[in-house]
Amino acid sequence: MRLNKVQTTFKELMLKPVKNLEEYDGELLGVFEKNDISPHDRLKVYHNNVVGSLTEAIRATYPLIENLVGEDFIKTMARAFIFDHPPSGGCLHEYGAGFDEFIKSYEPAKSLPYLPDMATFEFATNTAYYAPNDNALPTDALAQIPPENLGKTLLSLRPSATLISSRYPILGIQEFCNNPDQNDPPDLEINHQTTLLIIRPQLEVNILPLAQDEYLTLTLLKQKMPLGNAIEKTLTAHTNFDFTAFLQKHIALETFSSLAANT
Amino acid sequence: MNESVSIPQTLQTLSSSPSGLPLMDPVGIGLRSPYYQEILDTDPKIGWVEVHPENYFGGGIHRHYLDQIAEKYAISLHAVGLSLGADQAVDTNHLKQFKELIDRYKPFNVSDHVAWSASGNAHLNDLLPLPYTTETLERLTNNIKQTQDYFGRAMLVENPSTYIAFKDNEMSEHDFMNKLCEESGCFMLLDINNIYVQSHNHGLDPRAYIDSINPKYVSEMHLAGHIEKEVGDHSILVDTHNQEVCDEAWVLYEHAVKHLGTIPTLIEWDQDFPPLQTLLDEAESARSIIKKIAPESFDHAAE
Repeated sequence: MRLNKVQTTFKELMLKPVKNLEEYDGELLGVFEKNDISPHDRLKVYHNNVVGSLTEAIRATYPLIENLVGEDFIKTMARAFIFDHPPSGGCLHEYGAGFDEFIKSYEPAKSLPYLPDMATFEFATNTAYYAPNDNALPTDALAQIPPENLGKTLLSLRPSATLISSRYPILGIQEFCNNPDQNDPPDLEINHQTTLLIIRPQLEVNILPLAQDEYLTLTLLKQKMPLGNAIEKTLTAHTNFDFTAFLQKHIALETFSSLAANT
Repeated sequence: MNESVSIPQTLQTLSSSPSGLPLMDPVGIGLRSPYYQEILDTDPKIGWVEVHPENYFGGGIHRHYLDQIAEKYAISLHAVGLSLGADQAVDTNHLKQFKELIDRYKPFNVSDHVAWSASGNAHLNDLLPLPYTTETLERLTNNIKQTQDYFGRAMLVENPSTYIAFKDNEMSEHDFMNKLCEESGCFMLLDINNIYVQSHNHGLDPRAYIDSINPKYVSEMHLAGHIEKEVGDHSILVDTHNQEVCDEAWVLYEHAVKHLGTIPTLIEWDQDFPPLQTLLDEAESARSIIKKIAPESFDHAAE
């Protein structure tokens, strides 16, 4: 059997439930030595390694999800995700993107409608550690720009930044998970309108609750809208938006990348 | 497609081992995140550290630590994601990110494995087994040459632990390893525990394996632990890197030092991390074996 066929067939067996492997009777078996331990049992060692290591990668990125649904549930859900969405590259810390979307379509999780948003939140907080390190916008940088050019300025968010909007009380659910004895479960029936910024300015990841106008402006800036247009657009929706305070706050929080990084 | 890739001039002039760097102490440890702070705080006496480059791809917080540690120790980059044995070209994005780290940290060795992980667009995150055939040899040689061309330097490849054997093998694993070095211009990272694992799993003679390895190719050795998985009345050793080096592997290591000489040697853990001191103790055991067999290796060490 050609190497390509060996690897394609081997891969297909790894990316299906172990039951398929146990019942497998195809031609790949013919390429292996037969001895005291059957090829099925030997291939199961690989299946266990492949599925086990990817399951551990998912669990390491989503401990909060595991806290919410339990170990057995997340392991089963992770396996289904792995079989549908195996890693596309050899860099594992990127793995687990899209778990939130997968959960939305995962039938056993339908009764937990807040779970996808919790997964979005958790992926952002855990992958922020791997985002590139760059320099924050210096506090005096905007003062250096001629006033007539300020509106055209493109302010980039730091590479680790993720903006999250959810109707669920993400931080309340997180708090309840971490200290179930000290907190009442949050009321999930009402709309909590949560808007968050997840960002790693230096070594630590920050989770910042945002006002609606801040969230909108940062979202527009992240979409590469010039500063002037982003502020204008926010002001039409939120007439009380104090953009000077907004800029001071987020420059102090190191939300923006230095302008040099944009050129 | 076995398109032939020519080795650039710079590589052809690399006649000796890439690990020609004069390490004061040939023994190093695998650097993993649980040890960052303690190593920075305590400056343990080790010759070098090795990291998986994939953990540092794209930037991120791990580089904050590696930047500081690289100022104190020689670095080796040991990849797990190139999938050199896959019947497809090496992922150029992976090569690009790897090269960026080579330029940044100037490692004395760069390595990956004689294994495959990727098939089509799926990357299985495991070191999967290869038949030892001329077809595999050509495929691996092409991928190693592609990688070496891109890096502008020779690389090392590690002998595998495998849990299944191919009926169609056209040569032994040790012959395959020697031929691979000869044909691709790469060097060998000889993992002593993997040889022990292979001897148990496939009934081969581990000393004969070591004796058959051409010493001129070996530029690094690894020592790690494994677990034993019961299967009916038999067992398979699985290379888990979460145990101390077993007694048999230490005996084989001593044999390897006798046959191959003093080679940069790594103590490698990847799971269930013990206190740093456990790794340092294992490093000291490796050091004492080298001192016993080749005391001159330490003549110039600052001790």
